[in-house]
Amino acid sequence: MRIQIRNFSKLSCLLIGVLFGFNSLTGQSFQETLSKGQIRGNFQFDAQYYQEDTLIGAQDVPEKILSNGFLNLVYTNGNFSTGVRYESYLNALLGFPPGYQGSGITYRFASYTQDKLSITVGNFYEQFGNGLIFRTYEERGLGYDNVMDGVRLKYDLAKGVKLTGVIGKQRLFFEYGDGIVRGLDVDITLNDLFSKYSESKTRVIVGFSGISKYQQDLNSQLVLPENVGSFAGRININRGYFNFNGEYAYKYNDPSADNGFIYKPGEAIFLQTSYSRKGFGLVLAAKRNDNMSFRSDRTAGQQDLLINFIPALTKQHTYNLLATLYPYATQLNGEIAFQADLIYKFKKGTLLGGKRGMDILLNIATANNLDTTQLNDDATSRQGYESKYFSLGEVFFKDFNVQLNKKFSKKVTGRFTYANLVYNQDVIEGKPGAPIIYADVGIADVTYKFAQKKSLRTEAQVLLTKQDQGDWVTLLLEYSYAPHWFFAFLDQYNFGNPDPNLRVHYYNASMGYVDGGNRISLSYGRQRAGIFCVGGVCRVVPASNGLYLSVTSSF
Amino acid sequence: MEKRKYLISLIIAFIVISCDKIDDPIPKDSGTSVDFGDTEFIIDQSLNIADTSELRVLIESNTWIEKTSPVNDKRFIVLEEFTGMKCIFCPEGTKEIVRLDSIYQEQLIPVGIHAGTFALPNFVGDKYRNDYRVLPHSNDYLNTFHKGSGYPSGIVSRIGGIVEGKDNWENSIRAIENDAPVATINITNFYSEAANILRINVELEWLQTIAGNFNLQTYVLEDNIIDWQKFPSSVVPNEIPDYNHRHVLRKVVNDDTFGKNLAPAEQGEKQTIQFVFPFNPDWNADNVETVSFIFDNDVSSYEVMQANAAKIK
Repeated sequence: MRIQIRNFSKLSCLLIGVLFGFNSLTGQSFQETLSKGQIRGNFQFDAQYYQEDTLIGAQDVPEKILSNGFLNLVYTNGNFSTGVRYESYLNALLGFPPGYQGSGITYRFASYTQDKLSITVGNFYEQFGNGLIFRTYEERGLGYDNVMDGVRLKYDLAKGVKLTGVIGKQRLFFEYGDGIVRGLDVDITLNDLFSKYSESKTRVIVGFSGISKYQQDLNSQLVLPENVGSFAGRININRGYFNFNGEYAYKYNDPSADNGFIYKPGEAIFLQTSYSRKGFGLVLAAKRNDNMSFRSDRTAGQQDLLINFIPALTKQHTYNLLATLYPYATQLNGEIAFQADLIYKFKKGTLLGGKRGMDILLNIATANNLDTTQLNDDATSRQGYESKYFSLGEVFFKDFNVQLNKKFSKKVTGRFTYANLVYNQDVIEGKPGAPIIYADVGIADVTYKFAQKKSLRTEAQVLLTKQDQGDWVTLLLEYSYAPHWFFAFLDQYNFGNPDPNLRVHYYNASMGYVDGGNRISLSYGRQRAGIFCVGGVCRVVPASNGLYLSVTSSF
Repeated sequence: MEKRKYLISLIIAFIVISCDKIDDPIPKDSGTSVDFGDTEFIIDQSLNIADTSELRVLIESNTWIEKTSPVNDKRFIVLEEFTGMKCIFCPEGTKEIVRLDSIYQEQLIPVGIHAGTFALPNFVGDKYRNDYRVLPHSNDYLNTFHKGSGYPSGIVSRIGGIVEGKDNWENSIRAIENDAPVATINITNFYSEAANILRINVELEWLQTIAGNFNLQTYVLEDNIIDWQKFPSSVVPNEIPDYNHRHVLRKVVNDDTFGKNLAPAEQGEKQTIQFVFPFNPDWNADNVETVSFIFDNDVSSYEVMQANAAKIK
């Protein structure tokens, strides 16, 4: 008991020291204790000077300069850690939610592990299974942060059995949402729990989780459930090159703005299997989610206060025409999606592999609406609709893409991509009546290495479509002088726009300097309006024109 | 094995306890509707009266104290004030209401709605323990009418749909005090101490034909509740246990937050509705009064067209 008291005394002392400054606390023992710890951190600052550009729809910004800044500090000392994050939006860059305005400490926590028990108070990120009923995370580029503020306990109940309990509220910009989120998760590694299987080549992990949210019912028009429960079960089987991951989730009646305040239960199933060995990898995945928007405030929208995360079954492209013109955003209200990913390496000396071998990456992804029948029961049970489990509704998205990676010589490497997209703009972007977009995309990415430290990378991209804004072409030249400098020039040209006045060039020049953990980059030019997505969660990026500064640092 | 049993029990208990399954999402009137003569009776379901014969037994087997409202010869005005025991400036609002009440007397019907954070009761200690909010209705009214201004604030006959500060109340009353009434409302309360039941009989008659869709709203108020109240720190003492809380909303009759829909407003149209429900023994019957008013239920209006009030003893 005495040890515990001493440790907690130390904990509070350290917490006070880190959060409120070391100067106020003196004393040799404190200094000694403190010196055993380690501080790590990272910093990011992005600022843009905006110019009005009516041709591309870049709006005038009254402040002229907008900026986002972040500093993370984490102090670790043995079993104890604490940290803070400072964020500053003065005011937030265009495209970020307007709730980000001002500066302040948005994240602070203290964590301590004693024997089998780990305690975290304050802010924490956590995920149960694949996230179908619970995942909190930060994606800074999206302005997405649904971090919890409360208490998390983790306990090793037995060998192979881990229990996690959480309770808290979720971050909403500089405040917290109305709802309280509570949850339990148990993760069981069967091979560890049952000693007779400990040497088995087949590893099996099962998990069960439950999440419940509480939000007061202040609605006189409907009887709303103040407590909404959900649960999920999962299994992961691994044997040699083979892996299988499956999870099923169920959510009780959760009327919300997302689903039009219907009381139909939600459910989701996620299945993924993979086979991987040297030179060959195959991943097959399927997903069905039905009415699975789950937020700690039933009236929230956009990306606010989401409790769960429905994994996207589409490839995350990086080339700009593919990545930001028609990317897929997961439809939380319902979708059925499939994806196949194949990676194959043609060996050196084979017909297709040639002298240096060649990689082929093949990806096929589809997402469809559920096949639903409306029940028109708004005035009675408000179940909303019925859906057929295995039947597909309208197409949301299709992506067939193939990529070849080839090293032609010691100096020249190439990466060639073709993609065929089908994109339901009406649903994905919420543009009623917009036609389905059919697009073909071709990309050649070739790098020429002049010398040990000098290289030139060129990207030529073309996107052809008869819908929306028509055809695009992109050219990128990027010169790198390792390890410190890079210079790039980019032009995107909307040469196929149906309106000849909008056949605009989007020029952009950039340069950067990298030194150890620091990186500074500067760019000037036009930024095309587009959609930025990470993992199926998306943010609309408006058109802009101006000077952009980015500074990152880590230690 | 024991640990696993506990664990499974824990998870099942967690899921079961922390979930509300709603089979019927549409709020039902708490009352059963029974037509008896020219009157529509809306009877609280807890009284288990489903037909006219059972209703007749209830009425005839009890003794009723009968109280009626004043004659509705002008446009009566409802002043709904948002307040709370911990609202330090609200006593100033109450003073203004008392002043206005002395001028307008029966023409002005004040309603004190305890709502918002200043009305939250304490869960520990011996102060502010009583909850005078009528949930969820009080908060619905607050969310509907209270758009960001501070307390004390109130809304005069719901005109404009937004509350205003106490200094504007008199002007708003003056603006409508001489309006010709569009309808009359006559309330007759029947109170049975022995049966602990209150019957509110509301007779309304349209004096004009006017366009719109109108609802009838009925409240039960309790006047002169003595309980804790906070004051600004400049007042000594800055909280007292025996403050006189005036005209406190105690019940939204039939749980109709925004009332019961009425037939179209055509000149000469009459309608009689009687609400029958158990009388809450926590209320002091000597200080209880009922309020009924007709308002335009268009969400862009909410204007109260006519109102009246009556004691029960």
